[in-house]
Amino acid sequence: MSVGYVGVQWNRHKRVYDAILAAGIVVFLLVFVGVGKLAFRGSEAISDPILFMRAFGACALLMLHVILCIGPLARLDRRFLPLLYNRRHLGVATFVVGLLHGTTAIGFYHGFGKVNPFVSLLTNNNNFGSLSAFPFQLLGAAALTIMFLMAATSHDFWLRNLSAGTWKRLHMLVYLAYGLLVLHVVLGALQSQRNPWLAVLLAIGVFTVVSLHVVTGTRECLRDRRGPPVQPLENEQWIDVACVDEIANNRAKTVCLAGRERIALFRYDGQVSALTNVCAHQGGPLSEGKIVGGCVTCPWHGWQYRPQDGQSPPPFAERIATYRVRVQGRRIFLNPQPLPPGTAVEPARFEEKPDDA
Amino acid sequence: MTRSHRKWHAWGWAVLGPLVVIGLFAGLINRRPIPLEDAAVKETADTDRSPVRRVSPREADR
Repeated sequence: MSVGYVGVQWNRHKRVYDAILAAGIVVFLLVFVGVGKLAFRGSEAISDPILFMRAFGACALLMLHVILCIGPLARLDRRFLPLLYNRRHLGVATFVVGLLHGTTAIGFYHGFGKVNPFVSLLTNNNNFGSLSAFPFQLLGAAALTIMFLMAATSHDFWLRNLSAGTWKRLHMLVYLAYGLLVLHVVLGALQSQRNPWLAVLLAIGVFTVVSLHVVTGTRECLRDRRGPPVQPLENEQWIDVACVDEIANNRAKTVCLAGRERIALFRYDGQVSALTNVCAHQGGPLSEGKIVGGCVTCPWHGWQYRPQDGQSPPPFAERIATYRVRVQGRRIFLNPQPLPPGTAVEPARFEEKPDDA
Repeated sequence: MTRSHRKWHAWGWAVLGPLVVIGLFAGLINRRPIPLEDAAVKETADTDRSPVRRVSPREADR
């Protein structure tokens, strides 16, 4: 391995996030078990293993819904961005709660026979042709396997070793895990539990997650197709992309060019610089960040780059592509050909108006 | 995200979304019928899918 392991860099934000997360999980489990004990008594009483198994399963499913909503909500409204910061902690916690559900379920339904519980899980039901008797536990096991893969590779150590692109593609498997889990619940718990509110709640969750992702995904793809076309590499092309006054100081404008990666156009201290919009960490949208301490700061996890050359400040060594810009009057012109990552580019200067400050 | 990831994301949900919704409704519509002998008795929350399978009177007579 070429990249050394560095432990999780704890800070106050992460501690607060995790404390709220842990408290939320404990409260959910206590309420679920408490209500289950109170609502079903006497001959209807639910045994403890079943009650806890359901509590863990419901909690993990709810957490997965929250995780899947954070991304598109942050695209639609910046106020959700703080939730994105530690989304991986939420993902690992979801896997742990899901694992508790899986362990109690396998122990209770497969642990009392002569056959190995895992062999029993894989072989005891072969009704693949029947929806109502489908081996739904296999769907849950497949989803849990995907979530294990994601939890095991969630650390930045794996992100660097696998490369941001591969890591991101791997973690997109969570969408498949979600589909498997919905079917696991529909073909499992909802086959025997006839309370209509359970089906309604799940339908609301599915509708929310699917519609949020379809809407934001379509919107972002349409944005990518807009913008002026870019000529072949050998042509010296300058595109009029914005007016200086459109961009607030220490902020950026996203430039979309047809068929190209987006570009972040930053304005700061009477200057304009252009960088790729893709953060080297997890591909966060740099144009939605701001300049902090003279460095472009990614809105997702706070990775920083100098606007003049796209290099992270020491001791970090990340580099991103830069672009040439020039200002004529108040208009900003951009050369759309990316320069190699870390290439220093003279910022385009302009005269600030007195009211700009 | 890169342009490629955005495209994968959009296409992924355009395909997966309808499949999940269809799976949800197909599973709910095809729920197994409640046996007549059990329908009269209020279903207990704990007895469904217990490790030891309960045998209906009709099956026991076979």
